Amino acid sequence: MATAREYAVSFLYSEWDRAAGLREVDTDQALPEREGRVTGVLRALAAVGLLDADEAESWRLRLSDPDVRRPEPSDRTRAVADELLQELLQAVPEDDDGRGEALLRFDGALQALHAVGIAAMEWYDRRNRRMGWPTADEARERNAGGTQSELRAVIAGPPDAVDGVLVMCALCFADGVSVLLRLEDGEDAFRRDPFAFELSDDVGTSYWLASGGGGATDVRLTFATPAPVEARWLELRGEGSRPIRISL
Amino acid sequence: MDDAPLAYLERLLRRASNPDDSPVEGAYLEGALLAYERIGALSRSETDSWRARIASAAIERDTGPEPPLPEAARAAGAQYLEQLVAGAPRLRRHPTPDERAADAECSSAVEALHAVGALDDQEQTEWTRRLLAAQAPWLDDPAPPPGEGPWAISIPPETPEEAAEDAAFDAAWAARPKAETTRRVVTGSPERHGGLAMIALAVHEDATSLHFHFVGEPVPVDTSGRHSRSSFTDTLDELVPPALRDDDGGVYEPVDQHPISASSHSPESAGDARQVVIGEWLYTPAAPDEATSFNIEQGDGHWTLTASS
Repeated sequence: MATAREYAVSFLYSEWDRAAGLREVDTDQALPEREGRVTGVLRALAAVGLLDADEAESWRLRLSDPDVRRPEPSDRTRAVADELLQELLQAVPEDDDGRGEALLRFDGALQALHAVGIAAMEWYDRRNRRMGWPTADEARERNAGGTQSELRAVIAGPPDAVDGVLVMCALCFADGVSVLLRLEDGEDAFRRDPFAFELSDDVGTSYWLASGGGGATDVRLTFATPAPVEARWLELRGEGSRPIRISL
Repeated sequence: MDDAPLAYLERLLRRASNPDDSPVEGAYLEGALLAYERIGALSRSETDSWRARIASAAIERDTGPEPPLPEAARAAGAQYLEQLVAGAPRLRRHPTPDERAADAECSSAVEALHAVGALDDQEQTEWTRRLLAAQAPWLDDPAPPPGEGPWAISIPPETPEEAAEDAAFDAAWAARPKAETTRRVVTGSPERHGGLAMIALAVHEDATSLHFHFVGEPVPVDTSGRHSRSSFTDTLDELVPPALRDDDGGVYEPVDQHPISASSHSPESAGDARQVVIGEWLYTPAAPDEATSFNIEQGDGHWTLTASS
């Protein structure tokens, strides 16, 4: 059973993570709120006797400047970590299906060491190569496309909505296809799952949906696969709806 | 022990005690503990202690600390909350930095005391209710909605100027076209001027929308390889609606100087990545059936969209 003191320490560490996370996305615009939050947490824990004055001051510094948390590991520490990771990786069977205990143990060690700035990202690639998975660079290459930068053609959709979905137009880019939709049946587009749409064509292209979103009545889908020049039509299929054919 | 490994183990502990999170597999935990022991961040006894804490976290969740906080400590916590609630500033539309800090202090104090077992669930709800009653005395029932996530409170005007702003906003909102249905679409083209291509014009029951595709200059990419969010906002600010006319003599007025809808796809790689925006401006009135060709002008750019016959 955890003591109240352990609960307090856990809460403070969660605040530390929270503060570090906010630091990455927030600007100083929210500084009063951040300072007020730190004050409220520390005074409350001090009030119930779970922090003394020195500890509160120490935590105030940490929570106010969460980036100051990691001393540089020594070369010796890195070498010990690398040796352990090598040992654990060697123990992973090459025919592991991705769920074996040896792989979990390696991942647990890698993530723990990476979290404290000791294990290099290179170890993820070494693991992936052993498992036959794409490395970070290979995955990035596979996921390239869908930049929506080089617009080559604007294609009209059918004049009428199909099952409440109107295709405003399709945009053919050098590295992908985007489809702009209007929901004409009163459905809230924010509630519509954009990833429930699939795109196909008459030459069997497999279109990868890279992103989707929109406003209150519109949905924009971006497929990171260009339409081949020999394709004569695209077909958009939403979950539970009839397909919508777009002539190229 | 260095703080960074401790912080990571606390994260694993939170994950293990959160029923909505994925469980911490035994072998995964062993790998983490072995790593920290091997680099000297944990002693053998500390490793055993963390193994036991994380393994039992899932079972012991929500049981509270053992032993419970003494009554005197709980009373001291309640006294601190009494002071906070008594001094809680009323919510305002334009709070001062001190008022914003005080608001955060109040809510986080309640959260911290609940997290360490100084307040049970019912007490936390009651303190939140009391705090809200002090901050928003105009609410009939100052109860936060159930569940987690953000929620909003409407703040009534405090000055005649704020009341006038409200009235003007309400009137503008009521007069705003609904654009709920689409009568027809005129397809555009990749022709581009100043980064803009006009890709479609849609005629609605009470408005006309002009859809665009914008490709900007390269924007700074931060250390994580992503576009900065401010550059999207800055881009939207710069995207003002062009002049729109039709071949039937119709002139269209933009409803807003900003796009009514816009989105951006930001590729993660590429140092020369550009801000790409697809969006739409809304105009009034709705184009009549007689209008078949639309002229769009902005600076030196000129586009013509013509309905297919």
